[in-house]
Amino acid sequence: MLIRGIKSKPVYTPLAPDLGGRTHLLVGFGVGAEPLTRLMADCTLAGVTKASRRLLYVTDKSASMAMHEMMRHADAGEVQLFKDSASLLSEFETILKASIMGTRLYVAGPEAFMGLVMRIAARFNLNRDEIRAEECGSPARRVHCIHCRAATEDVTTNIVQCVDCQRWLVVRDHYSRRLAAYMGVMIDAEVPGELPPIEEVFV
Amino acid sequence: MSAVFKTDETFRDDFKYSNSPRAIRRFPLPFVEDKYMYSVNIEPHVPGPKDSITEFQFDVDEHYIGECRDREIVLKEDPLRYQALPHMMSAQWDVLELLMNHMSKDYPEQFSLSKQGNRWSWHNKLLNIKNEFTFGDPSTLPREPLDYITRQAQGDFVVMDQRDGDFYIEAGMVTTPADWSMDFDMGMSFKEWHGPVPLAHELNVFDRALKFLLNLRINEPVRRLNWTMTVNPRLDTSPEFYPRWGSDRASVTADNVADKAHIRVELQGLWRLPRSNAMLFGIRCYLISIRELATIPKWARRTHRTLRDLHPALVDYKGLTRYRDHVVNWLAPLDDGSPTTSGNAPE
Ligand code: HEM
Repeated sequence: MLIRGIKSKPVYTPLAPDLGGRTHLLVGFGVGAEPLTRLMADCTLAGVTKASRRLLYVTDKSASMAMHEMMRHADAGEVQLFKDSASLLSEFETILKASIMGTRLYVAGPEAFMGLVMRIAARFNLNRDEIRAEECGSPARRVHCIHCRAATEDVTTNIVQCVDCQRWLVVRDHYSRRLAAYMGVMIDAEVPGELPPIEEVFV
Repeated sequence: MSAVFKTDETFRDDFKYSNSPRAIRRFPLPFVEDKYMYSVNIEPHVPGPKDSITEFQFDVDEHYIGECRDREIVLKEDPLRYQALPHMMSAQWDVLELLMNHMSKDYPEQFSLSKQGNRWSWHNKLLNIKNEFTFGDPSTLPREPLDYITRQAQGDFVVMDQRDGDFYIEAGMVTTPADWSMDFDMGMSFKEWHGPVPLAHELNVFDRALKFLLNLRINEPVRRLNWTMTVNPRLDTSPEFYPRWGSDRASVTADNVADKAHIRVELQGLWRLPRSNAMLFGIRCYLISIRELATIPKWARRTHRTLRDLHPALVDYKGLTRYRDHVVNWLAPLDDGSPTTSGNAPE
């Protein structure tokens, strides 16, 4: 497999206020705190009220304690902090279930996290232009095993063992928004045991 | 002369598959000159000469029964090879109508269709399938319309929704892919699902093809040829089942190459669908062994030169790395260096 520009990877752009929205839902992970803080300041300048902003944030080791404190006191009408992304995602889904009318979604963090957020948003038919996403933090990949359909999280190497079927998978540069993952394909199907060196590449 | 339908072909395990002399002569060699590179090779899907694979819009040939049977086997093991999003129902009926109309008109001895208003009656004599149903009412068919009709047709089918100046894969039956996964690509746009293809993006092939296709009109289908190579006459070379067929590629030797290595050509057709405004993409696959292909001297010379000089990125992408040299070496003695006529006709 030749590695080149990834055409199926979404294009992420720096967050900016969308004045068309009535509710501004900010969702962040780890160092995503920085762009979200900048966005909240820009919102205030643009006249978006604090009350219309709601923040969901989960911290991780990439973010400092200071960042966590900063988010706790973030400039939003409602702030919710989570211990892990699973609980954040479930709260996020509950919010969308209640109402998406006039909602604008802003996501910031590593792609592996944002992909899961945007996958839920897509289920609720939020259009691509109602979602803004800024990538920052770890480039580790979420990998979908094309053979058994399990997802292996936090992949930083060119080759990884599938958490479910245990096959060694090469991580292809092909990304699915629907699955929020890159494609993993068995590396030694042609000659069993023939594996190239495993290297840290998504760091 | 119409096809004599074989009844016992297989595309797995014992691989009972071959092409009759008629099938060889009508094989769509994808090389119109002695070299190959991607291009926007799209032309109107107009009727070709009698007996050619483009005489009719949907070619039914001697391999029909075995191919339909192979599809059933794949679907049993991996039902997600057929998928359709809920809002694609009107496109599903569009496809069913298109296929039934053409197959019954072009192959009246094999397929018949009669209509009394919305009451339709379909008889597929090759597979012994008979159904009466109400057009537009899915509850009157044993399966969803797209599932039902594509189990009775050769080749894969993908249906795309068109919106915001792009196409999105939202339904399809894909049991014979050349190493791509519809399940993975569901919901992707034209350039996203073409993401893994090397060089073509940079050659602007996809920009130009997309622009052209967005304006495709009803009753003006277009077609193109695409090709790769497959070891053994295997139809299901999916990434899903790659652990099963990957080792085929390492099994090719100088001695078995002529029978093991196959050129795989896809006659790809595109139809605008009338009710849904969706787009149907048909991928009709033809397989020929190198030995069969070499019975046509011009094809042996041309294929030798084309494979020998193929761009390394294409060799890699098409998965030929392990056995291309065997194919080239086997064909080399058949190439005396004499010129070939242009076009892909046998000569
Ligand atoms: C609109 C319907 C079409 C669909 C659904 C479709 C689908 C695909 C898919 C799934 C692949 C495999 C990508 C992978 O490796 O994962 C592919 C390959 C390719 N497609 Fe398309 N395609 C379409 C139309 C076209 C058109 C109009 C062109 C060209 C002008 C084109 C040119 C190509 C080329 C050059 C490749 C690489 C093939 C190879 O080297 O084996 N496609 N297509």
